[in-house]
Amino acid sequence: MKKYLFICLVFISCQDEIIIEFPIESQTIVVEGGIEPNMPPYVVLSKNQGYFDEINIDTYNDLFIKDAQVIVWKENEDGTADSILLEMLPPPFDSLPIYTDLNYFTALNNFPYANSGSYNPITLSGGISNDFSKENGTYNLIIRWNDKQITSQTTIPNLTPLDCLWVEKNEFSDLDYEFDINAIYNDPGNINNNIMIKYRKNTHWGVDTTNWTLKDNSDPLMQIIDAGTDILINGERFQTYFPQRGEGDFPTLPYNASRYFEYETSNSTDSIFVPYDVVTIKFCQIDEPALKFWRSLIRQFGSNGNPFQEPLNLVSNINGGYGGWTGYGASYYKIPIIDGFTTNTLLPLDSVEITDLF
Amino acid sequence: MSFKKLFFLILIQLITFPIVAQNNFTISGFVQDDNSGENLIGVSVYDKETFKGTVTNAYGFYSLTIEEGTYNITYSFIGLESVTKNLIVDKDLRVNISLKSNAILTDEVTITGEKLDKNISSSNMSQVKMEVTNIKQLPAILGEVDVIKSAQLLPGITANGEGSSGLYVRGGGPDQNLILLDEAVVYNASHLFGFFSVFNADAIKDINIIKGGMPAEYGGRLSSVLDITMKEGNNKKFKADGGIGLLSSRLTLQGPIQKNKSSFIISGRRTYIDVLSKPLLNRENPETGEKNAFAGSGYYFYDLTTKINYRVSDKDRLYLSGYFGRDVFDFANSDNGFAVQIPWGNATGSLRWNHLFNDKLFMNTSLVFSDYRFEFNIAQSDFEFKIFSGINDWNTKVDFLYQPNQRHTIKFGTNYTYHEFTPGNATGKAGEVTFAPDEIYRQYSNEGAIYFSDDFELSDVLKINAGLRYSSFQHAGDITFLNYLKNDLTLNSNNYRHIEPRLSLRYTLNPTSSLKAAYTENYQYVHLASTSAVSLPTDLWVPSSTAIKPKFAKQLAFGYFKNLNDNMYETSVESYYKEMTNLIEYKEGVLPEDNTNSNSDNAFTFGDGDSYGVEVLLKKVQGKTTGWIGYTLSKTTRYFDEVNNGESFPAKYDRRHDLSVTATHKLSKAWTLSGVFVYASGNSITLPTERYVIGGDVYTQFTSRNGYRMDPYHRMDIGATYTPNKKNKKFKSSWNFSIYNIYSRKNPYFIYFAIEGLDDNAEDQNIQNGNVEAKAYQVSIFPILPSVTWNFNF
Repeated sequence: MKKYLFICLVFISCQDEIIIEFPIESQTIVVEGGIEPNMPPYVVLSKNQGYFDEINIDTYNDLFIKDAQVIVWKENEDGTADSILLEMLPPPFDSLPIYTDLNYFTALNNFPYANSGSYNPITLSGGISNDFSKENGTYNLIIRWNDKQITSQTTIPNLTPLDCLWVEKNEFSDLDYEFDINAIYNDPGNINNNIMIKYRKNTHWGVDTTNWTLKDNSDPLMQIIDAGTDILINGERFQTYFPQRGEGDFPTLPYNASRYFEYETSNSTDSIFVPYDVVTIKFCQIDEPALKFWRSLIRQFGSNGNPFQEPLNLVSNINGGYGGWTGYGASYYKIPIIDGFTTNTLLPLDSVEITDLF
Repeated sequence: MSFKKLFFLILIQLITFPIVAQNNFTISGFVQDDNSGENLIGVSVYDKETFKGTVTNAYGFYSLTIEEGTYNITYSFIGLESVTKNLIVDKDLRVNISLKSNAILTDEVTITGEKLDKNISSSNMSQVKMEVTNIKQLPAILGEVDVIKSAQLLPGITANGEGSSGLYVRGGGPDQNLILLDEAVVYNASHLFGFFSVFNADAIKDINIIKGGMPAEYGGRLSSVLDITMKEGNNKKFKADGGIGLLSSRLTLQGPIQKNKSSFIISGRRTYIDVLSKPLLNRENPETGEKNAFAGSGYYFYDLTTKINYRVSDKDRLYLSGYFGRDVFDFANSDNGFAVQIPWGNATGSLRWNHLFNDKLFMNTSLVFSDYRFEFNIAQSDFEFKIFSGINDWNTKVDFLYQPNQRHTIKFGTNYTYHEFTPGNATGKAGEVTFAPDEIYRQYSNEGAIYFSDDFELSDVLKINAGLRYSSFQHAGDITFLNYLKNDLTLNSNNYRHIEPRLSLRYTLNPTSSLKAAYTENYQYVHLASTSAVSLPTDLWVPSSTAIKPKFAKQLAFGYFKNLNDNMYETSVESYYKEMTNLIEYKEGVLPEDNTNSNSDNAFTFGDGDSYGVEVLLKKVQGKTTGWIGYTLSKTTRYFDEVNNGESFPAKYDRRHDLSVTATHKLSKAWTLSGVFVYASGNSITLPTERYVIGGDVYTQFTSRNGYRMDPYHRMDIGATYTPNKKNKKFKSSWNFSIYNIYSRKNPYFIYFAIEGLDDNAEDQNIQNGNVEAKAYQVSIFPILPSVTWNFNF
């Protein structure tokens, strides 16, 4: 918001809070779901709210729909159909109510009681027996809740992995521990594909300045870097980079390598060692309807409050609801932020953490 | 009988009306300003006994055909001394006239240069001529004189919001105005994201605004014409004018190239926000010695206007004029190597040849080039990305003015434009690798028209201006012009041809009052695709095609015109009803980038609109105090099947009430005071009504298009111009003082929303962190703004 105020208010300006009330017109189901090869489909369901309704921890939890019937089905080549009834992960994993294939998760090593209710760092080890979700498969979603039924469809495109990734010092930063994740991507020229990149700092330590100890600042969920078509890059091999998102801003920020954090004590200078970040990059191909959903999401996130922007709703591929149902042709990479680290190896699926999936 | 049939019958009557007068002779010539030698537009030329006469055209030419006899012909232009010539008309006469300044009259401030009762006697309605000298005396934001902002003070014309230089005429959108600068179309008439218009008042000679009853010589837009004529340049002596203001400075030079035969004018203007802010942005932090991360950021605009003219002979004149303007916005952040540069602007060029075939037939031939382009360049490290779009036109037109006798003024001509659209393209670069589409996506179109009109005095009380315009548009698709020429030019699905009738009637009730009516049909073949609430440089111009049908409007207007107190006061009440079809909007869910490097036809949805209203105008045009009160009551609605769930919604610029009061008072020879008061119903805007959560972030849902009306807009400005009385000094100067929004009304400019957390971090929308609430903030810009401008000339 501030940047728009800056642009238009080279002149003196002022702002006043005003009271506007809009009653909500109807209850709409909001879907955030995905499916990718060899992984269980998942869906998070919530409801819309009036724009000025209060949100606190309680009302936030009430937003989520926990009693819906969720079915994912696909049509086989022989005309038969396979379906999965998605169910919610059991406690203590139900703080974010995720509907998924319980059979898959219960087969995971150490599931569900490892790590005292935290998702991290449970990997998908042991759960790889899913032949329901495949590349080029088309997957239908049916959700029934309170006499409402909404549907959607998505396709998982073929994977197109990156050629390689490496860690390199950020050229603009004066801080010697700030690094970028660079990559080489070779876009297949024979197809029109849509690309989406997400990241999550699986490990990211900060310093608690009250007692000078490390604190865990890792990301709870994947965050989007960008999504777009290959219309401009079709058939090109080029270098790109995957910055992280700032607070309420476009992704432009580097990651942290290990460093010593120095601080003043009463009579001397001390320091604390802060380990490097470990980042998961999820590089995906997605279909056209899903791309429109993610593009609109990025656009609204980036233009929220822009007074010159015509109001733009998120584009949804959910019939009768809001949100998106996305088939990901996903390639995972785990990148420790160590100067010179280079890889072209996909992260094995049984090493992918649960929260990298959602 | 349908209206169209009736119209054709009237037209045929006019064309075949017998010219029975015998022994008619023609007085013709040019009227110019004695001081500068410039041709004068709109000079009344009439017989003093009968008040029958004509006016000079856009090139200062007049032709008056009357019966044999002796006449006292008066040449009158307010602000200049009238000249009456006793003429024995027993043959065709060529009479060129120079009008001198009138010391008495120039002490008064006049609102218009028209013949005093022209508003009563003319068949035109919904047309206004604005005088630059008067505009310059009105208070202005930061002292920047702006012709479009002054036009917004007229009834029927609205602004889009605080400081906007957009034009919204009788419910029409910003792309429905034909904005002409010396006959060249100006596609984006604003600087600084819409705050200022591109027209430098120092270089402007004449402004004619047509908001209804559009004559047949104009076309290609649905709603209005803003026809601006540049000054020609003083052909008698060298002259310099300039001004230094808070935002910009300007300088105009003009003078003879060959005395009384040819002259030039060149006028430039540039802002200096960037120059003033540069030391601040480049300043190093005194403690750390670090450079400011935003060094290199800045904004400026400039424009350059130039014109030369050459009188080849008494019958031939040449004019060459041009405009070049650019806005440049730079943003740099050295912390992350991020840099943005956004240049945009217009360039136009006009070459015109006036030729007088005989005393009754005048011709103007023009070759016109017009270009508008926009770029968005973004770079970070080795990565570069560029979006660019634009439109350029090559236009040729021939216009004839034929005045066979006193009763007829016939205009006919042709107009052809070759359009080249570059709707939206992108290129990029990553290191050594360049990304570019196989070819830049362009679209080509041919637009043509022929027209005929006759302004005809049917009787002493009834005058009719009837015209027909036949327009055509061929979308040539993604091929070159040469390819197009080689292709079949027969009618195909991308070829539109339409007849546009134009009709205006005046019925004189008595010497001081008349009734008028007008009916027009207009087609528009080029469209502005906008996702923005205001006119922005990112908006795209696209041609009509198979998928994008031409816009169409028909407008019916009635008016009552009455002058009081020996033409000291002019009053009018006009009502109008306008229907528009094939209006264009982006489909819901379409993102502007969906058009990039490709055809945008499928990105749009189409609908209808209507607008109706009543406009009341009371003008005082003589005396030490002049000005006007304008009030409009109107309603503008849009109907789109695929927008707003198919329900009708108010247009963004729908205003129920719109009131403007302006006044200028000549206090003394040195001081002129002025004031403006405006009141308008608030803008209709779309607000979020719902929200939902995805990935821990809050997203908003807008459900009712333009369903919320902001608070009313009102403000008062005052101004004063001080001109020291220095006798016999070549160098003259004046000071213009303005106070904008004198009672500092907090007018709503926009409303924004913030999801605020308990930590008061307005940017933190992640509701998992605890309690958050949505708040609405109304932002106001331009509180009380005093300004001073120093103007000079020598």
